Amino acid sequence: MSSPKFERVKKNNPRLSDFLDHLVSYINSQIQSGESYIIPKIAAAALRLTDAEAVVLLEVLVKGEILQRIYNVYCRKNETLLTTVENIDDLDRLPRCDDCDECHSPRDLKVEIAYRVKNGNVRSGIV
Amino acid sequence: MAGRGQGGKKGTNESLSLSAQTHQQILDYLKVAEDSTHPEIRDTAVQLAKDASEHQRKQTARLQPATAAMLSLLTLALAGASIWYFFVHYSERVATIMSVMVFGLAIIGVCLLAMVSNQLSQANFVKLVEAVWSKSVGSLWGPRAKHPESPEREKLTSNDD
Repeated sequence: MSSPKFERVKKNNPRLSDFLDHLVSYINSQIQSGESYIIPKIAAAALRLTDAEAVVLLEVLVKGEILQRIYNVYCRKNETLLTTVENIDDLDRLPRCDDCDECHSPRDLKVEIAYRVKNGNVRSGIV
Repeated sequence: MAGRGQGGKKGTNESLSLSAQTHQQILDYLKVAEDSTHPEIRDTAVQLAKDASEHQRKQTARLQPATAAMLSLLTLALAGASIWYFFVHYSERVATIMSVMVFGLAIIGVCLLAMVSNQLSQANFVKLVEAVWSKSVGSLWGPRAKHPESPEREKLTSNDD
């Protein structure tokens, strides 16, 4: 049984219904296997779509308030995860990198866009 | 595919803040998706890109569009009241000159408010200011422009012939 939110999203995007069903199945399988967030590149490979197409489908779920976009910030020098922020504006107020012991400039950082289930128990999944 | 979107503008993106770069990265993904082989995804990508740009425009506006509209209305109302005052208290010729100037300034003020609220680009603002300037100030000083050319200039022109 789908959640009312997801049904609303499908109703608003009837032409994407099949794609969204596949995506949500994938998200649920990821959540059940212990993943806390969805990476577009991996989702795209699993769904046999391009990265851009996967981002569009994930953004549709963000618009429907099912998913939330998050940003994983990595230090380019050490390839370590510096922080994860929920708000895009917080990317300009990042903490000091402990590994390098310095405040990096934007060119020393890499941002990975990811998605996670919004306002819900991650273990329960979307549907 | 995303690499095309991210890598293509690397040079220009380096000067941007991290949030602006990330926003651009999302827009690039949506732009790439506009070439998708699935028409349903393509249409959604176009719509999402439009929404994202609109949202960004509102976010970066220094003045809310509703506030700008109210201030514009107030400016025009004040200009209207001033023009009425000029025609009541001054001679028609003076009132006309002052009205044209006040009206021109009011239009420039409205354009400025529109620009601050991200409803008007800087380039269009400059075009509008130039147009208002030429229409208002140009019309006031227009008769002087119709004066005959200087004798030296006339002489030069006749020599050319």
